[in-house]
Amino acid sequence: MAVTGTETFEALTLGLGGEIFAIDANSVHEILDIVPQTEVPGAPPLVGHLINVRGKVVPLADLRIRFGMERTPPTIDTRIVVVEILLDDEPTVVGLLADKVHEVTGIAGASIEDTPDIGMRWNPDLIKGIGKRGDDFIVIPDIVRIFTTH
Amino acid sequence: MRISIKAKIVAAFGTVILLSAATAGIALNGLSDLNQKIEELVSVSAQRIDIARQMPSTVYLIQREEKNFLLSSSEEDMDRFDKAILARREEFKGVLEQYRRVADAEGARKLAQIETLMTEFSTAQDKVRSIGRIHSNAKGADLLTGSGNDAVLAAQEALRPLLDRVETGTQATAEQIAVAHLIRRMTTDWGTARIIVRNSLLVSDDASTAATLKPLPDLLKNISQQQDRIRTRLASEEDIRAFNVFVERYHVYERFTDEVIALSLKNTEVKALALSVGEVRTAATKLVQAANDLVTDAEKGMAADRQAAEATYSQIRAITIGAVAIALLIAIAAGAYIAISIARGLGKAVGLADAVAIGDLSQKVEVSTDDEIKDLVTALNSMTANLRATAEVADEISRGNLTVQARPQSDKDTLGLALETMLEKLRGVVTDALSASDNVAAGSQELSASSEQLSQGSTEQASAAEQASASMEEMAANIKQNAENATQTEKIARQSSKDAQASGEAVNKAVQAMQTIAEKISIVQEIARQTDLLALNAAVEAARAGEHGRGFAVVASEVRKLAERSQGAAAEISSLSAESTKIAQEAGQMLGRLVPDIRKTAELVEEISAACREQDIGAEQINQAIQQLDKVTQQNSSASEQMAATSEELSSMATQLQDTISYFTVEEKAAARSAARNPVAVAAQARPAQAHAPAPAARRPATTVTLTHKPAAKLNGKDRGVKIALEGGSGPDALDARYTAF
Repeated sequence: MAVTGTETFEALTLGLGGEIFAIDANSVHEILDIVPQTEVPGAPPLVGHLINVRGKVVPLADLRIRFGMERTPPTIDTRIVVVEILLDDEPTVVGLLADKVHEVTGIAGASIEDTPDIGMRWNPDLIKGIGKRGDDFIVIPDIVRIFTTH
Repeated sequence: MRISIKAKIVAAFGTVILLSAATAGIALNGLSDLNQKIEELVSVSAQRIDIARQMPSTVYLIQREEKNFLLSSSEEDMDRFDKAILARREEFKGVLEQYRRVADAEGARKLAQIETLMTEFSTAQDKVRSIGRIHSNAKGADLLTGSGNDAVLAAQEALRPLLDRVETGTQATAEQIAVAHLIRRMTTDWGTARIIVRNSLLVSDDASTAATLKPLPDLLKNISQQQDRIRTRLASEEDIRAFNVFVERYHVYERFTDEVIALSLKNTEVKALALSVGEVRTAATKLVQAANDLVTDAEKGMAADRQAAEATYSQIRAITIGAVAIALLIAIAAGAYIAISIARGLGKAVGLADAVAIGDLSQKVEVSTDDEIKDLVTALNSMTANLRATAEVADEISRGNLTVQARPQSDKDTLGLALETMLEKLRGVVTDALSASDNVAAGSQELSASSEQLSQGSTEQASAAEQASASMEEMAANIKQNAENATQTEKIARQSSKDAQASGEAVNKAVQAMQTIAEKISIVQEIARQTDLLALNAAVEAARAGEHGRGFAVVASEVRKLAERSQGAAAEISSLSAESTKIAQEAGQMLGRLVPDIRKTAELVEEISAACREQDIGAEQINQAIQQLDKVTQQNSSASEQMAATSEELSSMATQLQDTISYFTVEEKAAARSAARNPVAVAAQARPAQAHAPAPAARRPATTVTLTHKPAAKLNGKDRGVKIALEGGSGPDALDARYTAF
């Protein structure tokens, strides 16, 4: 998904490892409180657990692993954001673990910049761009790429 | 001549005892005589009568046996009664032998006569026994009914063929009928003869027997003739043989008949009875007569013996009474003589003793006899003389003369010794009393002065005690106030303690309430969080709705803001409530620490209150003691005044005593004493006016009376007031050490 254009898009901002991430609000199904997780033996650490979302088995992904962040135990603000993404042109529902969910906000397309190639903590392949909101930076991750590149 | 009372009494009693012994001897002798007589009476005379009485009864028994003998019919009975007769005779002989043993000369003669009569009686009876035993008629009857009857029946049997053929047969010849008729006549006659023989047995006297038997020989001869006639008319051989058998048998009967007749003629039963009634009875009557004579003799002998015993008894009684009367007379005479002589002498002695007893020592007594009474009277006379001497000495003393000398008669003269001692003591006492009265006079004067001083001191003491009492009362009031305050404080402290406890509980409740609030707030927080989550989801939905969801997004945003605000407020409340809980807990702990302190304070205040109360009581007691002290002091004051008056009186009494004692003269010092006494008397006169007389005080400094050791315990002889030693002891003692001086 290319982040181009000048129109604003609705994004859900969430905190993860001290950074603010933004996910397209249209791909978000719902936000859940932390629920019981079932560990899947032999699975990759990114999606090591399964959760039950209204009767459907949904893999739970911890993006902190992908971004090389420190894994902290869940707090009272920890949430699961259930998103639907197209993997190989097939809609797939995945749960994303978030330290905190901030808000649904409109991000102006103009404020989004491309990811600089150097001076970044993270792999730039996994980031679509970085938006600004006030003084803060908002990282817009590329969810599909996160799950497709290993 | 001197005859002592002992000798007189011995002589009199000796005589009486000798006479009594003689009387007793005579009485004993007579008693043994009497005893012998009575013995004879009992053993010999009574026995004689007893044995003699057995004789006639034994004779009667023999006669009874004889009658039984005669009446008996069988041989056995006859033998039995015959033996009985012999046995009775032996018995009679035994009785005779018994009597012979106890018989006197006359009795022996009579006994010989009885033996002769007994022999006659026995001889006569023996005849009866021999004749009676024959029993002729009975024997004849036996013969007749036994063997005789058999013979008759046999003979009649022999004749039966001759008679039967006529009486049963039908073809008897005329000859045969004639023979039978003859035989009938013969047998009829024979029957008559048999009746005669039987009748002869039934009559018992000889004449009747002879008369009965008279027709028998003719009848028998007639029968023989008839037999001859029959024999001649017999024709057949058979008949002759039968008839011969009959004749033979008839002869047998004839022999029996002869025997029976001989027996019948004897008639022994009647003879024996005649003998028994006649000769034997006469002999028996004589025998019984003789035996009764013997009984009469024995009774007479017994009466004679009784008379002899009675005579002996009266003789002994007369002799004994005489002897006793003589002994009694002698005893009375001797006793009277001795009693009168002793009574007269003793009466005089008693008169003298009575006189001495009532104090009359002038009497003197004389007696005529020369015995123990005279010794007694002499001793009494010397006693009165000695008492008189002692009385004279006592008289001298009573006149006040103590210079006389008392000489005791001996070491044991208690009166003399006592008098001597009394004299000495009296001298000493009078001397001492004189000096003591001097001392008392001087002492009483000093006592008067001291008591006045004491009175003054007591008054001062009383006022001081009153002051102390007033102060004490004030102090008591203060203490009481203190006590009341302390009690109130105690109450307040107690209340505070309770309140603090209640506060602690309230704080605890507050803490609990805070905790509840915190819990509730957490719920609110949770709700806010959930609301926040919902608002977020709503925002997401709104975003997905695009343009259409914009209004909804605004609402969701607002809701979310509200949720965030309420979350923040809840968090604030939570932190605040946690803080206040902590503070409240601290307050509770502090209150918890405070409660025991307050309680302790209450206890301490209570102790203070109790101490105050005790102090109050103590103060009250002290106050009472001081008041008592005051009272005692006042009493002391009045007592000392009274004492002053008493000492005045004592002084005058001492003077009086000196005057009284001057009655006694004690050797030559008397003059000197009276000279020395005068100044004292002068001083005594001057005393009421002048309290401190210098002369006696100088003379007797040692007799100063100190009242300090004997406070007014006794006033006018009465126990009154409280005994308190005002200045007693030397400084503080063990009791004082218990109290601390402030």
